[in-house]
Amino acid sequence: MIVIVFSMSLPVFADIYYSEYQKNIEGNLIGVWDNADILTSNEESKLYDLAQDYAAKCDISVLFMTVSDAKGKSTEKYSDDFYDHLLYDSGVQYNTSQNNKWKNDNPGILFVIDMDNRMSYINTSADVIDWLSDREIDSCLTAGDSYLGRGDYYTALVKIADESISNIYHWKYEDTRSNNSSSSVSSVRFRINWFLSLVIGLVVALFTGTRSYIKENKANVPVSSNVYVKSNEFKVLNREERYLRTYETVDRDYYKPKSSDSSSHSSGSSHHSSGGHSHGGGGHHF
Amino acid sequence: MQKYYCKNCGAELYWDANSQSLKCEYCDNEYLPSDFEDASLSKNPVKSEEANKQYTSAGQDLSDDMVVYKCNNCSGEVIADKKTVATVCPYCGRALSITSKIVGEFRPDLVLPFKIGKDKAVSAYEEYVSKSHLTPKEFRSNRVISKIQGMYVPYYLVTDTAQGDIVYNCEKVWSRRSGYDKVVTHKVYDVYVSGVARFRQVPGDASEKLNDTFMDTIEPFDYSTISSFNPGYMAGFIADIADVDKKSVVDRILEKIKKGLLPLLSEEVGYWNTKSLKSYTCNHKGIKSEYAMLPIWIVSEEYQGTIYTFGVNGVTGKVVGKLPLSKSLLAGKAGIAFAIGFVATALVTGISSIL
Repeated sequence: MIVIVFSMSLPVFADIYYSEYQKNIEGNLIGVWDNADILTSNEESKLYDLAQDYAAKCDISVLFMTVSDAKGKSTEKYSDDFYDHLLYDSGVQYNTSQNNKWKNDNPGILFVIDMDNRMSYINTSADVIDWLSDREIDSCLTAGDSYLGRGDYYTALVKIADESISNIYHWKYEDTRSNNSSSSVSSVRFRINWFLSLVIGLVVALFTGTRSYIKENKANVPVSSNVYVKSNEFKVLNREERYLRTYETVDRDYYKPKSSDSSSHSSGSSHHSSGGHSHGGGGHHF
Repeated sequence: MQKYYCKNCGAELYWDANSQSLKCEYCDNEYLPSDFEDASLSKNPVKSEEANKQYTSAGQDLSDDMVVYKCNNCSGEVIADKKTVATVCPYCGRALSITSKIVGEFRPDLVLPFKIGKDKAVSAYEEYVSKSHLTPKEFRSNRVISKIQGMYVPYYLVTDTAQGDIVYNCEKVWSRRSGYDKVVTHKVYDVYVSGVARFRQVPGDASEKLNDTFMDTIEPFDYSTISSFNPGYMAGFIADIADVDKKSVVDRILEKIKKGLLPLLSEEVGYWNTKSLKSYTCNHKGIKSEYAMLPIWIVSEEYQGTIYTFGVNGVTGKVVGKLPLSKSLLAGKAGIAFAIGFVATALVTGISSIL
């Protein structure tokens, strides 16, 4: 009885964390969890190799998971808790320093097929939240939609992952879109400062050169002949003002208050898991 | 050629601007030109034809424009323009006054003696040129400064009573609010002003060699020491006779007077929100003209194919002349400004990003 209760009280994720396809390489976690049993062994193995390649390419954690029972949670919450456990509760010392804005220096991505909620989902962690925008997540998930529709879950995961890794690689290495990492921000700032210095230097040079040229090129002004008139030798003989007419002009609505424009914009999405950790992500129903 | 000699030691005399006299450099005696009887200038003016005979007998024609004279001091041959009435012998440096020419209609009525000596003229020129950092350094060199020479320029001085009439179209404007609208009321007037002014001895240069606009900028002249003409004042300086038609010079001066009267009348129109000149007429009465020699220190220098001329008013010390611009110095100044702007901005933005 006690054993049963004990076993029943074990954390709900206890058995699902085990995977023969799991490894930690240089702080990056790689793993495949087919808890919904929708992949063959061969497909699991291939996904594992793919995860290794992607992790090496982008220097991030790459995880694949299928879910049969979300225990009443949404796919988002389920995947958040799963990911948090791997990072914070599994006993493995990942770099969860406080140095960046995500308070987590372990960037990674978790690809989920939730058979309970019928959802494909991408869960991102740390800097990957910035490298993969909502629009890109949506586009990546779309790549797998048709395969999910016909039950080809392996190909769907491959397509989604391929698209995602391609985007991450581009933003991390080939472009300095505002990914908010401190090194890329300082690089952008340096370029802006350098450009600003150049522009201001040119403006100062142009102003100085033009001012000097005008000042030095100023010709002497001929003196007016009225300097040869003594003050008591000028006399006004007559002065007269003749009124001609009066007219009015009207400036319509001159004093009318002007309405101000307003605009709004949406912000990107990141959220906090129940453990208080930041995640990004999005999902598609199938 | 006319010369003046010290009554004490017999040395040649030159006009000294500082003491305003003919001064002996050896015994420091000072004389006024009126102390010497000028035998070549008779009280009865000689007619032009006779004056021409005298001038041709005193010098030998070299060409249509140039004459050769013999310096009485060193017998050196001096080539001068036919209009020159005073010059300096290039061999012995003696002042040469060709008084045979300054007779009849070519004899000036007045002369304004130099008040600014060569040393002060040189200082004024150096200060003028030095105020620009972009003027090529050759303009500050001794070679150019040594070329500064005193010159009497022929002028006509016109005294005239000018009467002018102006009409200005003027508006007084004020506004008020009517609901959200702004209503502006304009009251329109024609303002008539009539006035008269006496313009005394307005100068116009009568030398074709010198640019009129340049000579206009060297004014005004202080006539407080102007005297009846005596060639003694010209000792040591070069001078030319008038070679521009008198009528054209006087007409130009009358046009200057007309332009000078307008601001005096316009000031009487008063304050208005807007005003524009509708008409202006000017009549001249009692026009009197005098032929005068006015003093100027002058130097010219060529730079990159352009001749730059500078003048120092021989009475007031005013310096005029367009300063040449060295493009390399301008580029250097702009380059330094760029470097300062670039470094300052980089430092400020660098410090702010660290903070």
